[in-house]
Amino acid sequence: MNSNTKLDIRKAFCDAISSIDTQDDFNHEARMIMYRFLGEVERISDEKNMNRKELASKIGTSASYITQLFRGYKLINLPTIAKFQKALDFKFEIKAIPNNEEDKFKGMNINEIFDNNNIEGFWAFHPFKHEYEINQDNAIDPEKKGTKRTA
Amino acid sequence: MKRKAVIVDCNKHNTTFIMVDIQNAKDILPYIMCDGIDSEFKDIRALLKENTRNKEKYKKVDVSDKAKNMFEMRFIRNNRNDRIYCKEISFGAKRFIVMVELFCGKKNQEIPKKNKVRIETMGGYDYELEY
Repeated sequence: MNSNTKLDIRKAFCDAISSIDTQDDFNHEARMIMYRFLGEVERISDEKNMNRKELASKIGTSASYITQLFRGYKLINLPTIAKFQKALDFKFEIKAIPNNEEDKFKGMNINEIFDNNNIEGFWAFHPFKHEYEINQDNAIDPEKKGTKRTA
Repeated sequence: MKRKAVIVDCNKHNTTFIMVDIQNAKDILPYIMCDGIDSEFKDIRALLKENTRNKEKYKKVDVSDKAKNMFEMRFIRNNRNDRIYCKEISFGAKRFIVMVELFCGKKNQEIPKKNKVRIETMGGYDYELEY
């Protein structure tokens, strides 16, 4: 397949998505565990109209440290989780669930989406074409990494 | 004329779908494959798929009423300050997130006026979904 004239966009994205190595997976999983805690912290602090500076003050740290946690620059530790619980007056509940299903697009019943929803004039659905035609002007070059556009 | 988007990822319950604007895929695909960006993109996808909040990673863009369904994926590691602007819509329990356009090198906290105009334009896009 000539990548300058044709591209299966979905395949290209799926290949890109699955190309992260195992070592990174553990780091990613560690960040995801932290993000689950922080997601709840964000939700509850929003409900309480507490900004990041106030929250940082309550747990005896800086707003920039909390930002670094949310950005995944640093990993949270258990005493900090305990401080969040106390500052926002809640408790985390832990639940283990089996991880035996892949996240993979398996197709869907389009009627299920349309049911009980008014989507008139917004979306149209078409079967996916395996090899999507792209003209020369819109050609994709997979070797051209890091393309930047400033706007 | 409607634009076209294709599904590139979804969660196991088929409730959250991540899509890409076909016209801009040529910019977005090489970008998410860059070193460092790939792991950030993986984090953002995982957050979206399990519906976990994190405004440092994915945030609603409050520009104007014309862009009320617009969000941004934020890529900020290694002194980057890049965005992939997304259009999001929900039908019942189904959530569709279209990666519309890549912007690199955001300079400061404020959204520049020309970017606001672009975001408002994106907010008006209608899509045909290729599934």
